[in-house]
Amino acid sequence: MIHVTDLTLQVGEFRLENVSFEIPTGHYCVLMGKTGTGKTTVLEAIAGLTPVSSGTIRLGELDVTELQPRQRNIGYVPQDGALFTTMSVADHLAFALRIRRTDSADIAARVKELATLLEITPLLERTVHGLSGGERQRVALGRALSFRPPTLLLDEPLSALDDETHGQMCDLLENVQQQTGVTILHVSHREQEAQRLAQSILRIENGSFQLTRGDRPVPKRDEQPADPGPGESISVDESNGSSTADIPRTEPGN
Amino acid sequence: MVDQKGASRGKGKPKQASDRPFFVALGILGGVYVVLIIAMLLADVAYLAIDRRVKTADIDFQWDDSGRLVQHGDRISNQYDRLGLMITSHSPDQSPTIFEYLPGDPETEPPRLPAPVLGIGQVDNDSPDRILPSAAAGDQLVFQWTDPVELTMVDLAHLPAAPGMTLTMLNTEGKTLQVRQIDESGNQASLTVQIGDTPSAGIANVSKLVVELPRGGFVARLKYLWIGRQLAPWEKDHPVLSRIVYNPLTESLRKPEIRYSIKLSLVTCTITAILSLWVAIPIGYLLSRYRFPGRNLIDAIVDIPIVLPPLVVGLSLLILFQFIPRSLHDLVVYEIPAVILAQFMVAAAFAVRTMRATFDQIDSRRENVALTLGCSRFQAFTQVVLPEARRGILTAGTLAWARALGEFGPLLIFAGATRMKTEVLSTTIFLEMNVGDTAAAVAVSLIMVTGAMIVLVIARVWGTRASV
Repeated sequence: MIHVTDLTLQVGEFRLENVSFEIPTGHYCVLMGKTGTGKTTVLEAIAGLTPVSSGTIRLGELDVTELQPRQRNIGYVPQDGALFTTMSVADHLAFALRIRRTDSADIAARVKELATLLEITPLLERTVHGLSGGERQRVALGRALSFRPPTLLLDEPLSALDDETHGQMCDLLENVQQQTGVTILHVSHREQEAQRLAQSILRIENGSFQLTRGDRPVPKRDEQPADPGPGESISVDESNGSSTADIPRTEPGN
Repeated sequence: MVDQKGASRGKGKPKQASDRPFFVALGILGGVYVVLIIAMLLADVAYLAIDRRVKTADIDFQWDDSGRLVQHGDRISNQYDRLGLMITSHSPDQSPTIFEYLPGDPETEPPRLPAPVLGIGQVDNDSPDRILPSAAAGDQLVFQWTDPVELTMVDLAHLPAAPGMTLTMLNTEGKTLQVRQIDESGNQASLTVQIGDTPSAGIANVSKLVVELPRGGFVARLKYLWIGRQLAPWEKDHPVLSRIVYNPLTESLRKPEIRYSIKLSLVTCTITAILSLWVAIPIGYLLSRYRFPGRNLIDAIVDIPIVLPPLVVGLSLLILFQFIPRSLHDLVVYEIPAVILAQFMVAAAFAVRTMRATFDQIDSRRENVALTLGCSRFQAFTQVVLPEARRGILTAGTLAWARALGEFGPLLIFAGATRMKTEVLSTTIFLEMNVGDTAAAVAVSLIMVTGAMIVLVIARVWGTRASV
């Protein structure tokens, strides 16, 4: 669950006031709005990359408003991926786990697993130079998913893709969500994407946020994530009952 | 459920982490340079502000029995100011007098010689500046060289009215090359004998010069050229090979002073480049990424060494060290640390500019992603930013190295130009030009060009390999 209450953000001249919304656990939510309405700013605030003037952000039961990005356990895919130019694709998938000092055998297994999920196994040894737009997005997605975050933030991940790749990526995102049970907040300005993917749609208009039901059905209450890992649960959302139990708690190493 | 929640609250709430230590560390690293620049400039101002006091000097005058001034030190209190010198005396009997020190009596003394001369005779005990002419007429002065020279000019001085002199030039085998009779008399006290057809050309292969002088004549000056070393037998047969092995460049490389200065240049430039990166990376990163109070000011301050005339940098450093404890002052000023510091002050500014531009070009979203992936600021910096900045770091390092190699003005003032101590390659060029050895200066220039090229190529190759 992403729970935002009375959030006020100020970035330079741009200001967003009293933003409140709540995205239920396991939902695929598409954040819609025109350019310049602050979609990316909201996303960055949730990820901890933009300072918050007032209000609170809670992930499940945890108030993360004052926490560092690394303590929030959020997967973040910025626009165009922002891949690390000095690393290979495999390095990208392993990066977050290496930072957490995960056992190298576990890292290798996870990289393999992600590559299979995202269909990028042949690319693993390549550097990011010369990857196509779709491939870049897959790598960025794999990097964000690698440490099994319960929440995933996607900033216009499909904007620069041609129609065919766009369709493939939509399938992939849907597939990823079904397999991992992750709560996704996806920023987009295309109605088509919202119709295709959204279980709920968050619209920004004139600075106010409105949450509506999307076209895609919400998974049933008792559905368990298909990608459970060992570890302690961090939150149980009682409001709508859908569970994020068994999402591994992986603390970043310092 | 409740238990789970409790557990998640109790243990789950992570402590608020802070990036403050990282920024403080960056700030300290970079701040050293900024503080140095400010201190350097403030020292200049402070020096002028303090220096407006009245200077005092002590001057002590001593007379010998005949009333000649033989020594004056600085013991008696006197006052100097910009208006001139004022001297007062303690004694009521004797008013202060200044004598010029002259050995001997000016009445009977013959006119003193304008320059040291060589003659046959003995030193006059009464006046050590004089040489007594020999008693016998027709004495010979013999000059002999181990390596043959090209003799161009002989200056004769104190000629008597009827000279009648002979100059005989001989080669290594003892064969006479030329004999010059000089009968030109007249009232001339000195005579310049040009050996060749033009002032610059003379007779080659002279290994012995015999000057037959009449009573009272002196040789004041000799001018000759030589290649500076003895030719080995094989060199006479293979002149081209000889030229390749022995030329100003190899000659320079053989000199211990120049070898020392090459070594010192390489070592100091490398240290300077490393130190420059040491401050440029933190400053460049902070300026590029973070808005903090005084950011624009610091941005301007790090540009000061670029716009400041290099000589001023050197002078300012020298003045800054006037305010520093003596022991530290003596360790640095006119010593090797001064060389490094003078190079560093200018080179670091260029490195800072380069690093700033490098970090500006690196998308900050990559760091942001790294932060969400679990990196602390420090980890994001070392694992994502620094690898991406590798080429920029190399460029900044190369630039700082090259700048340091060319540094001259500040070094001359702050570190001096002492051979075998603070002499770097640029100083060598200056010193060689000063003694008129243009060839050596050009040779050292070539060494510098080569060194700079090698560093450039290494940096390029390394940079390309790193980016592939």
